[in-house]
Amino acid sequence: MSDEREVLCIRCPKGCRLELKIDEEVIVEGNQCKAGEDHGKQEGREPKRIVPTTVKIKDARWPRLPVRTKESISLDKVKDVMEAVEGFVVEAPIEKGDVVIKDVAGTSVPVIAERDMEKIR
Amino acid sequence: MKDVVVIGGGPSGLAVSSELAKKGYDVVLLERNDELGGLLQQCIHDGFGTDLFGESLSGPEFADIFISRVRGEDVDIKLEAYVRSVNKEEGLFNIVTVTPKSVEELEARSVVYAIGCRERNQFEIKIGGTRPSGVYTAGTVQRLINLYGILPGKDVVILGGGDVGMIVARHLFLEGVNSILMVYPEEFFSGLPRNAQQCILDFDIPYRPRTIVRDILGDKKVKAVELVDVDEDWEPIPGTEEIYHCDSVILSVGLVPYSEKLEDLGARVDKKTSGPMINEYFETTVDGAFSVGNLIQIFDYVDDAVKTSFTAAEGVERYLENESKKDLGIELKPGDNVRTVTPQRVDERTGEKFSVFFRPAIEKEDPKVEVMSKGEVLESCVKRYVSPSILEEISISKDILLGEEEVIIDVR
Repeated sequence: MSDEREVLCIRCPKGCRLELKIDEEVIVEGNQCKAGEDHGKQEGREPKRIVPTTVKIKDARWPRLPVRTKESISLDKVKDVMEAVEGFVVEAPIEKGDVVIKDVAGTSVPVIAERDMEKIR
Repeated sequence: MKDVVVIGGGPSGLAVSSELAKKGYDVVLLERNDELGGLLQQCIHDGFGTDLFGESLSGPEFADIFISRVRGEDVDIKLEAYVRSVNKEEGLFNIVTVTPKSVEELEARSVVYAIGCRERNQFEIKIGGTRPSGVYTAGTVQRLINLYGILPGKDVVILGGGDVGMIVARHLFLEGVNSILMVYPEEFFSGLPRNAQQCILDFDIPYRPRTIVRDILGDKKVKAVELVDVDEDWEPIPGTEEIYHCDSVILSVGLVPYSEKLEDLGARVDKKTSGPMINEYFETTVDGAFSVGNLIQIFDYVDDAVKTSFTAAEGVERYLENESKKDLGIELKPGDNVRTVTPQRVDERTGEKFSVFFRPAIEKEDPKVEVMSKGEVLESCVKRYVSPSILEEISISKDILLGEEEVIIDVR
């Protein structure tokens, strides 16, 4: 039983329309580059996304610190990640790349700070 | 006396400042906010930098690269410095800034405007009804959510299927609002396909093409909107009106280059891009006044916006070294199937190739892009697919333009 699906590529602003034939292998058509083919194969097996959000930060110039998953995680897990991050509070100073949560929602992917945020008091 | 004053500390302003400082010029960077990075600080999603750095960065991460570059060079950075006026007298620019402490004057041989764009608001589109609170532009909501952690409401209607609207829809969904409905008059989302996929389609956020908000209803606060279906010409179809309850309305109805300041200086503005008219080195019609980034036109992609800064830095260098001759003066114009073309003119005979950005007016598979003069095709190439959602770039060699006066870029 093969499954056919169409997705828009998210690897670059071109946004190629990828046609996926999903069997034991995933066949990708409509891509214009290698990254598109890789993306299509991944989409056919398990769509993955980077999750951007914010956490509360104390004593900083802004009330929120932007954070994201360091790598992309399964699309099915996005809501779990959001729930795990909710209510999380960090304290300034923070440096870009600092690990805010080591292993978020059992994905074994860390959540990292997207920017420096100095302490302001 | 400074060599260059750069106005605006967003990505394009940062990039042009560090490039010019690296060339050894005395650069002042003016930023009205109290931190650098511009709009990117609120664009916390990833997707930036895939072209320039080969990886998908968030807005703050992308900004940080250029902030570090500026800090690594000898650039005089002035924060909380609002530019009150710029005047040109006897070949020099006089710049008056207002800071929390004082009013200051600067003198410079050249000036680069990197002041970006602003969002179109509810008073610039045909939208009726009352004027309750709870109506926001998409960028304002992005700022509220990502810098302050504040959601605008619980039941949200987004008008417009542009990039900022789609990205904000995803933030609203992830941060847990009750309901979201996106409506837009086009057949398909007007923003980038990748945002349609990863912001709307990924999460099954409801959307209605060929629909607009006709009226906003509510006394003090938004209570509902009147939706109406529209035809291909965006004209409302009678009998399709529907009252839809919501507590906030978010407008994602386009960005406009912030070119009023350059107009004050006497620079000519292109009615189609709403940005200043520029040559291939990003010099405006005022000698020595340059323009970069989203002030020129709305780029889809920050990487492209920032690339303008690299070429502009070359242009500023040529100007400061008295190398620019302006011995060509060829006008570039959009054909029938193209909305905008930049640069609007090619001034210099020297230099081999230059980049032309154009936004198609039509959607087409395998179209031919033609560079034409007096009805003759000078050069053409085939693209796989074009649409108004995607800004296109082609490279043109100056050789083929020599002797021409007006050159048309078209797709067919």
